[in-house]
Amino acid sequence: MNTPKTFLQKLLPARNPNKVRDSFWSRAFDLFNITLMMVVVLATLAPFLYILLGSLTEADYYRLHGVSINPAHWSLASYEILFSASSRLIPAFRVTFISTVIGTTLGLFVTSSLAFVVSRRELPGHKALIMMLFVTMIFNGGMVPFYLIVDGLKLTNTIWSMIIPFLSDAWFVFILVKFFESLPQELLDAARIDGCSEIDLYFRIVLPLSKPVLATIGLFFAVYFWNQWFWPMVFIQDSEILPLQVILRSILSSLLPVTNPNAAMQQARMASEMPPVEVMRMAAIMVTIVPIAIVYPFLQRYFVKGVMIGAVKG
Amino acid sequence: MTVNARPIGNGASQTRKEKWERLLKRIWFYRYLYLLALPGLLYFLIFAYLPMWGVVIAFKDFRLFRGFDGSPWVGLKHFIFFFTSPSFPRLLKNTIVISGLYLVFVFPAPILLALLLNELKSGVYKRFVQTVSYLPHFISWVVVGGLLTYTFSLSMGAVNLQLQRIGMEPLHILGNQDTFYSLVVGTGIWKEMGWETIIYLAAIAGISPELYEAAIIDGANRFQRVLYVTLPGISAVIVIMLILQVSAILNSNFLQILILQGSDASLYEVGDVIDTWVYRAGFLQSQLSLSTAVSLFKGVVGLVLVFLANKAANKITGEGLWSKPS
Repeated sequence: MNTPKTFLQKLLPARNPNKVRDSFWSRAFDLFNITLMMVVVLATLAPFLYILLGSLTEADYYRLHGVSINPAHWSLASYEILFSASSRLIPAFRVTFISTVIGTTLGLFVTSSLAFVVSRRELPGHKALIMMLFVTMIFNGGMVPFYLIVDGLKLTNTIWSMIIPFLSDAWFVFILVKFFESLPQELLDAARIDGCSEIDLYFRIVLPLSKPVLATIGLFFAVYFWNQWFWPMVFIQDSEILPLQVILRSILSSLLPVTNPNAAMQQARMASEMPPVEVMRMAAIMVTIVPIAIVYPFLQRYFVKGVMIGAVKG
Repeated sequence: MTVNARPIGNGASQTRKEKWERLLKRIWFYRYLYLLALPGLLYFLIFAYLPMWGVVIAFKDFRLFRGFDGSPWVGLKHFIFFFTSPSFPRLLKNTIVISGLYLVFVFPAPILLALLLNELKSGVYKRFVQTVSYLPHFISWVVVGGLLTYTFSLSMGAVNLQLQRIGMEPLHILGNQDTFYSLVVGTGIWKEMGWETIIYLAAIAGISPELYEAAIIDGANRFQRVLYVTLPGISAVIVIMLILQVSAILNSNFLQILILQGSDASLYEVGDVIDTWVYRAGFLQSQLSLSTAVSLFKGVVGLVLVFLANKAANKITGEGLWSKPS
């Protein structure tokens, strides 16, 4: 019975001796399903691949034939220009990076500290807190009153207008509350007996135990701040502090060239080799996507759990 | 020691004054917790509750230079103006049509994908498909707009370049009234289908394996198992998600529509929804009060729908959409 398995046998799923062998239709369906899922994967990735290839295609080749899949016709010229001194994306990149880092950090603090308090059922006012958060999920004042408040606080036209008005969300609070309630209460009680104050408890016990759910909410915040464009477009006029997505949108709708033309012209060597505007735009799209596309697969097991916590019941 | 020191009220024989004192004592006992909640509380008061109070400008003729107190009350003027304007039926129709299309086409897509993913036998392949399918959820609508241009535009979209190469007529997909709804549905599915499967796959994983074993013993084939075990097993989740979707029928996906419209006013006929109109009235034409009135109308209808939806969920699943604060 215990003959050692060959490598191939290990790779294949163990066959259940009680099970009838898969019927023809069952296997036909498997084949169909595997193919269909490949189609889903390709349909998801195709636009990204096309943009990637486009952004890499040499200027001359692109003008004549369009996008090339042959590495012999590739060049990094578009990315070099994108990261050169005359680029409009560099300052926008900096603004977005700063607002993402500060916004995610502050957002995590504001949201998790409130959630820790809401998770304490014995607290006087517990029900009122939950009601207060719940109401914000089903009703809001609308765009103009929100704008007037932000404007009234003198936040408009500063980088803070991208951060402070978006530091929390009732949904995130409730996900965190659910998680905090599932922490072992004996541990918290033990810390209290050792003389831990409530604030110590939050910083020294609860936060370190909550890394997975904080990673989830942190990712949600980071994605929000990185992708934010509507409110910055409304709040900010000063082009120096416009974030990446707003600049990208202007570049894509031909309102803005990718680089500052005067500065680019001064680099005379480049003027003749300047890639076509489409290639530059595709490179700009790639640069906007890549940071998040690299990060999210590593956080996948966390956010899948986080969404599940939130989905069990809102 | 501290644990036992927590004051516990024991009701009955207390006078009113004693009760108050006990409550104040308890509040004082937890003072550091309230301090910890302060940033979050301030956030919600300022950025969620102050704007709710701000909706009163819907009943005024609000101008920035006049200030709040200097703007006269006008009653229902803005509401009447909106309800009698020709935009109102068009906006309502477009909003409901787009939400309806979402309901019929975008909503079932992740359920179907989750069922198909669940039938994949290779765990590695399943995880690979899932990981890829999450990607579009993480990119902005601005980027989606860019991707659309390079996929479908007449002059430089990959699809039309290829069609030209093989001598076929190009497809006029972007900026076309006739294809606008298909575009909304297509991009809606493309962007969120993978992400939404998380919830359904979690629900499927929660179904007891014994049910499948029993079905196999009863001779159910794979398709019958999906039909009689998996689907009923996730039906509660499906119903709740469906009801949430119905109650959000006036919330067409604002950022998506704004990007798909672009600056193309010819698309307003089919693609202008309440939110995009509110945005233009408020921020491009500075009709602050009118814009607020329309968003208040939308908010109130939304509120009614959410409560109706909760009632429906109570009836169908025996549970509400939200847990009663306990």
